[in-house]
Amino acid sequence: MINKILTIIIIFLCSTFSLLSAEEPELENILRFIEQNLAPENFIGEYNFKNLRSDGTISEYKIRIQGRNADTVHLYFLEPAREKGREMLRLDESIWTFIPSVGRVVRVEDRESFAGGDFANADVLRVDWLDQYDTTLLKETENQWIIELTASTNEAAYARMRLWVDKKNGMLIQQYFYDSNGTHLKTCLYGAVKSFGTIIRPARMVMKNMITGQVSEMRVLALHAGQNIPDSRFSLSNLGK
Amino acid sequence: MNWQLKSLFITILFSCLQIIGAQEQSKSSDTEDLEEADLLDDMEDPFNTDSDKETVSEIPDNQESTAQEGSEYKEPIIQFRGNTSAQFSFIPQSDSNSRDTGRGTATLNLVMQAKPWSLLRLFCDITGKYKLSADSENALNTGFEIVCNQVGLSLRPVDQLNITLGKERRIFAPGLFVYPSEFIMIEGNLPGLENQLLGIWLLRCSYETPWLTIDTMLLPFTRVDEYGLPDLEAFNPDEIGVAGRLLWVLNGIDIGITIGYLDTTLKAGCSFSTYIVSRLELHGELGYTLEDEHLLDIALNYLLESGASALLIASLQSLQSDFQQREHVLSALLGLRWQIIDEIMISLEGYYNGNGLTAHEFEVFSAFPSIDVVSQGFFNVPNSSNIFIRRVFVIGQANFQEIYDLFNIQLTAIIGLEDGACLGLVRSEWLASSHSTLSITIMGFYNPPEGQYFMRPYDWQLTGAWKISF
Repeated sequence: MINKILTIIIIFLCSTFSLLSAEEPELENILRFIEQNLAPENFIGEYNFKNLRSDGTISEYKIRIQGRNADTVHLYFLEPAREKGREMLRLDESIWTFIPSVGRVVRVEDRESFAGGDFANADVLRVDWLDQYDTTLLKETENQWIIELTASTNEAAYARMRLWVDKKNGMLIQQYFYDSNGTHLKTCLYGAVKSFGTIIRPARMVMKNMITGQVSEMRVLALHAGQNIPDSRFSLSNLGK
Repeated sequence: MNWQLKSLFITILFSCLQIIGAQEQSKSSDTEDLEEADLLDDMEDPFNTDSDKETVSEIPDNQESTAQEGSEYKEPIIQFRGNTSAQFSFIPQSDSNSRDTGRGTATLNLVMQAKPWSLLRLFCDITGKYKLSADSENALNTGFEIVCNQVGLSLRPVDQLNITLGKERRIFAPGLFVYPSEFIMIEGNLPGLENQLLGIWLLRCSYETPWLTIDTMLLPFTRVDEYGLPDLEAFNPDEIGVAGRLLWVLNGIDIGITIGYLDTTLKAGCSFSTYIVSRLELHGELGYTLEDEHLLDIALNYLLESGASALLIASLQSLQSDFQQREHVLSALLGLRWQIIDEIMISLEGYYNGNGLTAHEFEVFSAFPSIDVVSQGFFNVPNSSNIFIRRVFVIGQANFQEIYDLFNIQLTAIIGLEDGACLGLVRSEWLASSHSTLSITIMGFYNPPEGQYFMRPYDWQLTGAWKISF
């Protein structure tokens, strides 16, 4: 009798582990697909950002982004006119901004808000979740996977994130962001799925700050993957050039 | 044995239940958020905060394509930006016998960059200024000047190699307004005043990679004329400078090392900048000059250039014996930048100005009978290089970004620790539109008895500016 019970327990434990281990590659593939579409390698794109402040004011930016990969990204502000010529550069954990009005380069931080809106620099410049978060499948519904990402490094911008992914096409639908206390900081809604050559991705992201109620929107205006971007574009000394 | 196996079984079962229970608890802590989400409707207005309900939209079957497969992004050959601004400063006079004065400047700044071929870049940055000032006798003075800030061409025969010929401005030093490590582009900018954008004439050959840049520079023309062009009449081959610079990003630390021969002396500088913890940046700079130009020498040069009387020049020269030779001059700066929240940032720096006046020198200098004549003009437009007269300073700045509506506020203080003299700036900026920025800056000096700002050109000034960018 005891042997039978022990056998059942061992079989139960083995099957649980095998299920868990079978689940991981699938989650990894889903997230890799999302990352590759949100920030493909060697891409150049033009994006529009709109920030709504709680006092009702709206600020709008048009930005050209050139990315080698998630760790190597260059931004150039095209609009508004008062920001034209401002640049940002990301190399791994380091981010710098070039201020054209004084011709200076200043180091800034990953967690700082992007262009004064509710997107953080990490949301825009760095989408490498697989390297920074552990993944768990929270729930699988008829149409969606709900995946939890828990920070595995101190460099991660958020302690926890929750993703809603469309099973039909692997597109992100919704994303929650949490801090280390479990506070729900922001919600990002995705929409307007479009193809940009070989890349299919949501062309519209709306980020709502759950603490302040402020909202920011990002639209992908154009995206070209597989571009030949020289290394010199990502040189610190080449900012402002 | 059976009893032991039973105990083991119960223990394992209990542990498994505990683990499963804990997992369920964390997973179901907000189970209401585990329902299917709706895709954002393309037409939905996210800025309508009254409506929290999202409508469902279908993913279109015929997805719109905005780029052809393998298409190449074409960067514009010519990129252009510029701004025009009008600035007026009101300068009240504390002396009841003098009239208040004012100064107005209309500025047009144009920046152009062209890349006709991938290996060639042409660049140009020019400022035109129309100046209007009313002096204490109510006389109007006007003047027009056009200045070349930057101009030149840049070749990139291979990706890592860059050769630039022309006039260029590039500052990598991390200090707020004063850069002890930067001896090539020395001029910083105080907030709210006319920005100093002047570059330096050079031939630069650089090896550039994302993490490391090595520059070698030939600096042939350190003297420029009123247009910012090389002053060929004053050209002296002995004043040709050379410099080498290394910029290295090592384990998240920006390291800059510069060494060179400029202004007929050896100079060197090094700097670093890094985030020590989240939102807290630490930076430092160290500068070395073998033989530095003394403040007294600068004042003498000013008098010579402005055509002062020989008697005045001779009497000022007589002070030279009381002043130390400026050899092996070391200056240092250490600072912190704390981003408290996204909208508020505080910077604090300690600055040791190795070229500043000692207590004895300051006493002699301030007792000079015609010091007001010396200071007139020389200290008329304070910028970052001529406000540090003594040696030890604390520099503080608080930035409030879009603190209300599209208003930015910046508070700046420079305090001399040896005498308590202080320069304060309050700047408020309104981002009125995507093109237009309005700002008001109040700059004031506090000078205790025997303070270094006894030479201040005014107690305070109010400056209003309207800038239109395009």
